[in-house]
Amino acid sequence: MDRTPIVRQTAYGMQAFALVPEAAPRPRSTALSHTAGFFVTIGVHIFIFGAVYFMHLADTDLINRRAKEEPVNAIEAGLAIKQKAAAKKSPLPSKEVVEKVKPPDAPTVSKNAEAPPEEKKKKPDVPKEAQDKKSVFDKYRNLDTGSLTSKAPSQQDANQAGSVDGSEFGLLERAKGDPYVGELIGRMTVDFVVPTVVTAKVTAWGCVKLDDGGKIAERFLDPQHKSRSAAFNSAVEERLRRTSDMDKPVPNHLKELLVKQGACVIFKNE
Amino acid sequence: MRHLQKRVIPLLLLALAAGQSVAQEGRIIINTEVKARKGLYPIAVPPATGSEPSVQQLVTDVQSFDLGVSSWFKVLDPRSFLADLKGEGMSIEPKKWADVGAFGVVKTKVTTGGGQLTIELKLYEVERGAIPVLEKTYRGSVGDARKLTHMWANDVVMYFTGEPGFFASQIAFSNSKKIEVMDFDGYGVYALTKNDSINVLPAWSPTGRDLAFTSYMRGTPDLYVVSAGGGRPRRVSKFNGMNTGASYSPDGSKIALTLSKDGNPEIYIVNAADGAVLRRLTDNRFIDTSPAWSPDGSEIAFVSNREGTPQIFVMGADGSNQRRVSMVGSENQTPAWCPRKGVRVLAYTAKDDSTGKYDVVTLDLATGKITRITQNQGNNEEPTWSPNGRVLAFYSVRAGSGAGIYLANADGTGEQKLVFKGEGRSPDWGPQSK
Repeated sequence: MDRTPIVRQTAYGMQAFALVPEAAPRPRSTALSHTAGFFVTIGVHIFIFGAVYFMHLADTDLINRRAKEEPVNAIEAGLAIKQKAAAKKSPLPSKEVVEKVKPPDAPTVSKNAEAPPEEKKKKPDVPKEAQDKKSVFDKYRNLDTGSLTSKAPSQQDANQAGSVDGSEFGLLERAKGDPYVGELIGRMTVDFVVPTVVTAKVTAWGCVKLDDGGKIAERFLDPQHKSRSAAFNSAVEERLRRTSDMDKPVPNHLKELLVKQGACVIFKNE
Repeated sequence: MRHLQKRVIPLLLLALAAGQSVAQEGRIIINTEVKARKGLYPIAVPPATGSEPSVQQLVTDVQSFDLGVSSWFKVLDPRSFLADLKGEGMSIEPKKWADVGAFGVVKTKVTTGGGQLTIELKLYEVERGAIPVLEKTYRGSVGDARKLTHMWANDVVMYFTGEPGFFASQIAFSNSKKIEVMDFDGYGVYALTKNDSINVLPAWSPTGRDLAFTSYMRGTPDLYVVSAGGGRPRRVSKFNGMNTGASYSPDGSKIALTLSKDGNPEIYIVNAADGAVLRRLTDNRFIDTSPAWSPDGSEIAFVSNREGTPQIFVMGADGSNQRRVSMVGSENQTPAWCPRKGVRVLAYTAKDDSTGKYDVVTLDLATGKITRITQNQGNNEEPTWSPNGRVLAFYSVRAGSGAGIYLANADGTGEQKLVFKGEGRSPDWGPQSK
């Protein structure tokens, strides 16, 4: 028997060589069986097409009957559920996005060269995590309409949860007793950003002094307590630069401290 | 007495009330926990001065790009600068720079003459005043301006972080059947292969002298090694079937490779010099492919479909302790180890089953934390790490900007930069050149 070489292309583009036997002549008896097989195949196809057609007729009839029975909104609801199911939730975690922080307000500008610029009235810039819902509600419940700390707060006031004027910092540990200082700390420390180049454990004292009206009069790094990292010191200075003025004048009992001496926060990189 | 009372009582009250606050030297000192966020170092790169505007511009642009893409710095917009640049010259007025939020400033002076170029550079930390903390002068031909500036950017990164930069490194990739090499920033592209056949999957040797790749140049997918400078490729592995997906061992003496010489793709270790099989690492009826050697040489990550779909597995370099590490998503492929010392992090291509798109993610093997590098930005595949492990390059096909190689911070933050526009498949980031 002759063997003809053939060439095939594989999945990887390689050529493979093989030798296959030449086809033998077909015997007569197989011609009859092929004819019979042909008619059987035709018969099976006719049967299948017939069955599918009758099933389709039965389905159409059922849909028409249901459409008369069910209100349209039932179908719409069904579609809505289908749509909701189609929106698959990714099993992968979402990309981390840095939370946006509101930039400090731009200084106001007066149109009249003789007159000072008008002050903007704004709500205190309170960090979300520092908000204390209880004291926010207390503000309206236990509002003290008397003058603001014209005398030193009593020991009882100082240790009381919440604050005498309903400050949102009321329940924070650091602000217990004096909401004014608490709010100042909040303004000095909110959204403190340390560059990733700073890897050492360092601390620096960032300080502010206020004027009587509560505006920031001076911002400075305590020269005795600067860190050895210039980048960290810059980060603290930048934070102080963005510290906004207080909305209220400095209470009398704090004037000596906040106006003359100042308040410092110990910033750390750990 | 009254005065003392007036002064001491508020202090005492505050100290008691604030818990951790104390009064010292008459001031309120608050020792509270300040929640800090990690961010970029704001640096100003004002335009270089000198007598050759085109070179000045190039030096300024290269510095800004390098520092901006390094994952450490935020380069400030020059339009915000308040300083009198001409008056300052190579010095700085610290307050003017502090006022625009700059923590650091780079001053540059470019001089040319007789085809020679001199770049004088000074780095200031604003908080330290007008004394430069780093000063360098680079000399070369005018054509070296880009290279010299990359060297400076590396020095700046080293000054701040103690880590080498990657600005003198190159990326190899497969583009329309050719292996091409470019500088990490997309400049200086050249073709490494000259044949008309299919050339794919480039892999740098640890020294950066050679590249291994798979080529059909002799009809079958064999492994070749070529010098990074070009030249005639040398066939290293030519077993029947596939010889693909090379990954050099950290010492460069061995190559982990996928071979299908026995019919089924399995992972082997071969000798880098002559391709002789040293060890077979996997042996099963499933597909094992894409080996990636860990930086310390003790482990190999690879892809296997032994659990139904392609997933990332890790094994010892001797084939022991084979275990699946990617547990999220139906398809995870093309693993790459972070080269940074002290961390065990893999970057790979993950299919987002909700969108059907591919994204680049990293997996911290110590904590199991997955960080997504890309999301809703087309298809993003085949990540490769910068030599210092801070930045990832990957092939992306996006609506609008089209296909190309992008760079992204390995922590998923910041802007992604397109450095090569075109078909930049299977990018492999080479080592930092000496």
